[in-house]
Amino acid sequence: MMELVNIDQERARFALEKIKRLKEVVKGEEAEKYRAYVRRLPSMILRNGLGLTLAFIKGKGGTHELIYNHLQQWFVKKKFINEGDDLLEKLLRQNAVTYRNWTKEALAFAIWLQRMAEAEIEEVKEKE
Amino acid sequence: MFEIARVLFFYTETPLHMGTGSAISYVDLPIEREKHTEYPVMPASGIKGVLRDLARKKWGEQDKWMEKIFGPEKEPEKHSSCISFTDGRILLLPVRSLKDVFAWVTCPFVLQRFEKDLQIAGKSLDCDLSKLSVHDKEAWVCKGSQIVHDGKILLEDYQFEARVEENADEIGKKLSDWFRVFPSTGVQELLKSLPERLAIISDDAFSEMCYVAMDISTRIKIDYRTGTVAEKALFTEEAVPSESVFYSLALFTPPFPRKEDKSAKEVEEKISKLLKECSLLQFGGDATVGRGLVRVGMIGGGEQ
Repeated sequence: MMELVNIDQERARFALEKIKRLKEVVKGEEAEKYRAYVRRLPSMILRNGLGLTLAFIKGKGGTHELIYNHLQQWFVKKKFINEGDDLLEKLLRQNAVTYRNWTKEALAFAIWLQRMAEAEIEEVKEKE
Repeated sequence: MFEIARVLFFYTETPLHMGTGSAISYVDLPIEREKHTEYPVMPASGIKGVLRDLARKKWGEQDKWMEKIFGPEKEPEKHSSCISFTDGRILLLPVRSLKDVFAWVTCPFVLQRFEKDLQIAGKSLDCDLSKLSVHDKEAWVCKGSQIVHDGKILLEDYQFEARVEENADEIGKKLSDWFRVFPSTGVQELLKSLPERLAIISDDAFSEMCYVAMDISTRIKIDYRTGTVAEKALFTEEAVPSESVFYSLALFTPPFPRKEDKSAKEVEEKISKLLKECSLLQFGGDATVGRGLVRVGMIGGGEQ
């Protein structure tokens, strides 16, 4: 049987899992906020780098922290860090090459998180 | 098979967006990239299209050379075009530098491939590229390099150890020489500073720069009724920065249908003359917001 592992598919699956779980445990309003914030995540990482982005969302707390946790859980799943580690702290200890790899990985995952959130969570229409 | 091959150089005078159309990716409108390297690329189809358009403007649609050279537009089965272009491949990428504004960055693989491509046109860099083993932490520079500060080079957020190398010197001088084919003294003047700004970094570092050093702009639309940003009208767009240098090959065969009356040489001379008359061409999208103005130069055009 073919044992080909498609990394992108794994990211998608994990992202969908997290979004579905989120919808079960948080209130509608919270989920809508999550959707609005996570949409900016890929371009935030691209423009500001992973370190600054993590520091920013960690600092904001609240709904942003949910995003932070999802990223962190993905890195645990990928065995880049251990359960209980803090993603930001670990990131800042890495050398330039690993830092860049983590950034690429976070970006790829963030794109899935964004797309799954857009697909699964209803958008709040802006008032005229 | 082609009879004559000429090297074309492209210098982006404004940011260049030859795009893939919409994408669901890190940016809404990404640039075209080579599949196996992810380097920015100028698709050959785009290059040919622009040249055809230039020929049409200068010679007129009815000119007999239009169909001979570029192929019949309405009846493609009638006969083939007799000019081919290869994709525009990246040679020098401008990257923000702490000193001297920006560095022109390249890597061993790009240079080795450039040499291989040059040989198709019967040319060579005539430099020893076999000793180009650049470590990830290093940047090889020319004597008199202006981008070094305290033995280090800072490109975007990456730090490199500067190494003044004979190799880099050779390559810098040789490229500088060739860039005199650009029929624009403005471009030539700027490219004279190549040896001061050249940085040969590792293949991996260069691949990194091909993402980090791309121009990403965010564009919006203003709702004229409110004076504020229109809803859902924000998008991000990627472009290759100004001051980038690409190269490609123009390949010529005698025109079809094969008769004895016209030669590949005549075709080459027509094109070479065309490019000398009009060397500033617009490639890719967003022309009306100033994108894609590229200076084109052909090595050895029109000569024996």
